[in-house]
Parts: sequence; C-alpha cells; structure tokens
Amino acid sequence: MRSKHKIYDHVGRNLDWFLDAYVGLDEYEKDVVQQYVQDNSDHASYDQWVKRLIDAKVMERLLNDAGALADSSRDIETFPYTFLASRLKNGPGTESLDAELHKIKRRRERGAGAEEDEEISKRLAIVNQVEAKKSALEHFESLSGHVVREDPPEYKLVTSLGDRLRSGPGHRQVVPRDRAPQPPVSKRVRRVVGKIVQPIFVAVVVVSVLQVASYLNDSPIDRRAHLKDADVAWAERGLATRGFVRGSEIEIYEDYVLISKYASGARKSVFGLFPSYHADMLHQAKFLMDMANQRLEKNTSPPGAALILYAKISFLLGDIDSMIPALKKAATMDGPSGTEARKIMIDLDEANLMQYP
Amino acid sequence: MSYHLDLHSLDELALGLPFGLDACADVNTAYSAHLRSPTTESAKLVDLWTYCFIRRYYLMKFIRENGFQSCELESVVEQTYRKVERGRKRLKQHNRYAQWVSVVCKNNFINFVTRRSHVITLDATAMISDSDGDLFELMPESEWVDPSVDAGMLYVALARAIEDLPQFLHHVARMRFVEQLSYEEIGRLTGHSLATVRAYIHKVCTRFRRDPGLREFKSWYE
Repeated sequence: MRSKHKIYDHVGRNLDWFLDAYVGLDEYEKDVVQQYVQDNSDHASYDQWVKRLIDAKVMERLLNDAGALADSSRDIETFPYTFLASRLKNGPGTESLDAELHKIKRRRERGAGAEEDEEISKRLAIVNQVEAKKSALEHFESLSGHVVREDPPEYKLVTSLGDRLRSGPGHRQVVPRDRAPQPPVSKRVRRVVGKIVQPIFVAVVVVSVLQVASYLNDSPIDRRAHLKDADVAWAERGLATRGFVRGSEIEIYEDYVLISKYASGARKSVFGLFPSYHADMLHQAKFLMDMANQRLEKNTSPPGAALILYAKISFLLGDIDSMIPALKKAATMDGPSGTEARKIMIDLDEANLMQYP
Repeated sequence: MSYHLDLHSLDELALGLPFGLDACADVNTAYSAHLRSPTTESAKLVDLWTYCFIRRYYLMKFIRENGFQSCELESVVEQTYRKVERGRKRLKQHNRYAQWVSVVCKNNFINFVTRRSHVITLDATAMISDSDGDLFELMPESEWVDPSVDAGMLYVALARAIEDLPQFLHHVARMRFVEQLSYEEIGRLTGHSLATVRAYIHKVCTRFRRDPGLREFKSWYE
C-alpha cells in the first residue's frame, strides 16, 4: 500500500479525478480525499468540492445497499419485485432481470431455503386466487369511477378520415387465412418435411397477404401519417445527447419525452399490420404538446420534429386545422423535419386537403 | 422449483399506461401536468398508475410476508387507494407524487399488519393518524425507502445500470460494486494492471452518476 502522505499529494494534484471516482475508491483513499477537502476549506473551490463529495457519498450509500443485495441470504428480499417485474409487461424488462431471477432460482434449486420455497409457492397460490377472484380492471373501475373496459375509442385512419374529409377508398377485405390442402405424399421423410415446411409456407403467405392488404388499406397520405419510431424517439435522444438541449429547455424536453410516450402508447398494431390508434392517448399527447409549446420562450419555435409529431397527431385525430399551421412552420426549416414536412404537404395537396376547410 | 403466477388482469391494466410502473420521473411529470390543467384523461392516467402501483405493491408484500388471506388484498388496496385520493390534495411536493404514493403504501401496510395482530403500539397509532399525507413532509427521506419492497427495485436498477455499460466494463463493474472486490483482486482476476482497473472504475462511476435508474433512487437517499 502506498504511504498516506504520497496518496495525499496525489489526491491534491488530481482532486477532480478522485471526486469523480469517489464511490469506486478503496476506503483509505476515500479517507484521504475527505481529509484533503477538509484541510483546504479556504480554497476557492471548497464549496464545490463539498457539494461533489456529498453527492458522491449519497451514491456510495445507494451502491452499497444495492450491492449488498446480491448476497444469496437476501434473495428473499429481492425475489418479490424481481419475480413480479418479470411477469409484468409494464416492468423494467431488462435482460439482467431475467438473469437475476434465473440465478435466484438456481441457488434455491441447490437447496438454499427449500422450506421457504414451499412457503413462497403457497403465497403465490393465494395471489393467483386473488387475481382470479376479481380482476384488477373491474376493481379499478369500481374504485375510481373511470371506465377502461369499454372498447377504447380507437381512431381508424381510413374509416374516420374518409367519412369526414373525402370519399376515399373503402375497406378492403382482409384475405381470410386459408388452410392449404395437405398434398398427397407417400414417403415418410417427405411427409415429415412437408409437415414442417407447410405451416411455415402458409404463415409466410398469410403474413405477406396481410402486409399487402394492410398497405393497400391506406392511402399514400395515411401511410405517411402513421407514427413511426423516429417520430417518437427524437425527444429522448435530444435529452440524452450532450449539447442538443440547452439548460432552460430541459423541462420542456422532458414534457416532449412524455408526449412521445403517449403518442407511442397510442399506436396499436400486430406485426405492423393495420395500425390504429387510441384516440384518448392522442388527445392527451396533443394537449400536452400545446402546453409545452406555450412554455417556450417568446420567438422560439418548437423543434421541427415536435412540429411533425404534432401535425401527425392532429391528422390522426382528423384535426386538419391544427395540422396545417404546424406543417407550414416545419416546412420552412432546414434538415430532415423540413423535408418530411414538405413531402407531407405534397401528399396532402394531392389529396386536396391543403385547402381544407 | 418453478413458480406459477398469473398476473393477466393487472398486466392488461398496466399496459394502458404510457410509461413503466417504476418510471417515477414520468409519473411525477404526468401528475404535475394533471394539476396544471386537469382533464378526464389526465385524471384517469394518474388514477390508473396509482391503482396499478398500489396493487403491485401489495402483491409483492403478499409474496414476501406470511399469513395473508386472498380476501384481504382487495380491501387493503382499496383502503390505500382511498388514502392516496384524500391525501394528495394536501401534498405540497407535486414533483414527488410517485415517491409519496410509495410512502402511503408503506404506512398503510404497517397499519394493516398492526390491526391484523390486534396489537396497536403507541408508535403505530401515531402513524395511523398521520399516514394520509402529512407524514411525507415530516418524515426524513431516508425513511421513505421500504427495504422489503424497494430492495428488489434497487437491485434491478444496479443490474440494469451495469447492463447499460459498454461490454468491456461489465465484469469490472460487477466485481467492484456487486462482489465488492478490491482493485488488486480485480486486477488479478481480469489480468489488467492496477492503473487500467482504476481507469475502468472511473469510467463506471462517471456513467453511474448519469444513469437515469440510479439517479431516480439517488433522490431517495439525498
């Protein structure tokens, strides 16, 4: 071990580095860092150092607590959350969650807490009884007075917009899933191969037909209006990318992230086929976007991507009045948002919607 | 040992949320937005998250603790939900709504257990009278954390933070922060020099400080 005096000098020369790495330092190094800060209370940066030290100590406590939970004797503490979170689609959904759960199970299979296991199984049976007795949905509705059960007021692109704005193409019938007839085969091997290949072939044909049907179901403007990943990912990326968001705009960007989540949550589709949208979530996204944009400083325009998202949400809700000003504004901008806005305007023009109403 | 659990109904309900059940920052933003400009949708969203969170909280407790009856879950969820409904009018820290709901759950659970055992201590009585909302303002934040429930979340937050690190830092981070090994031990096990290990740990610390999951928990410790 290096002498304390030598480390003290080293800390003095590289205090920033040591403060950054504080939580990962060995105990004797932490003592030296703390000592150095205390000894230099007359330094101009003293307050700043203390602030960083306090911050590091908070993180240290947190990481110590979290790390200590890895001990197998504490499995039972982490198990309920890990187990429930892995069973819910609305959970953190990480690979590590599954890995941790697997590890806990493996340790328990090796005999750590067999009695406890029996007890857990009994408790899970009780939880299953509870879940079977009254559904969460029914319970929530009776408690809150909100209605979740009714079919959500979905916005179907072609039907609603078609009724309201134009006499567009009607619904195309989805090609029904036909079962291919079993070909007569004599040899056993061919029969086995056939059994494997046929369902795959039928599935590929059905999916292809559905994809074509889904594509034809939408007009070009409808296809362009569908919310894509890029439409809802920009805000989060903006927050994460250094320099993209200035300090005063962070709160507004946090709102944009929430709005993007609403918009993303409103999308409903299986394998990208026949996309439709929950109108209430789109309304909420639009409302929050209005609020966020109002909070922008005077003479500051919302980012191009926000304008495009707003325009698309408005279009999906059939609110062309709100859509067109947002598009026109975005179209004056440089970059991909401007290009996207101009393309949408061309499609709208071709669909005779630019003159609306 | 395989564990069977069917959470279909809660899962379906929670999928109506645009954010995760543990996304405290998003929940707090949604709650603040609802208070600024309340609408039917925003109220539904706040209530939906609140209900799902409370229900999951008690499911965890039912798995963790012994001796509960299936009929008790519904009533304890209902009781807590009503407390949150009443208490939030008095909540001053709108940007801590998610954490506050968690505290109400914790206190209500203590009340619930105390009442079940028919032994009401003086401390518990004090808690019962306070637990609607004021307690949040009075209680030191270090006591907000409920070790038996939040432990899992905290551990997953760390596991996730490690998962989000670049691949070459995974092992070193696990060794240092999960297995609590010294620099020398890590160096021996990985074959890296001490200087490299230190540099790696420095990188890990810098990234941990920015990690959103850990940052969310950090506010509980401050």
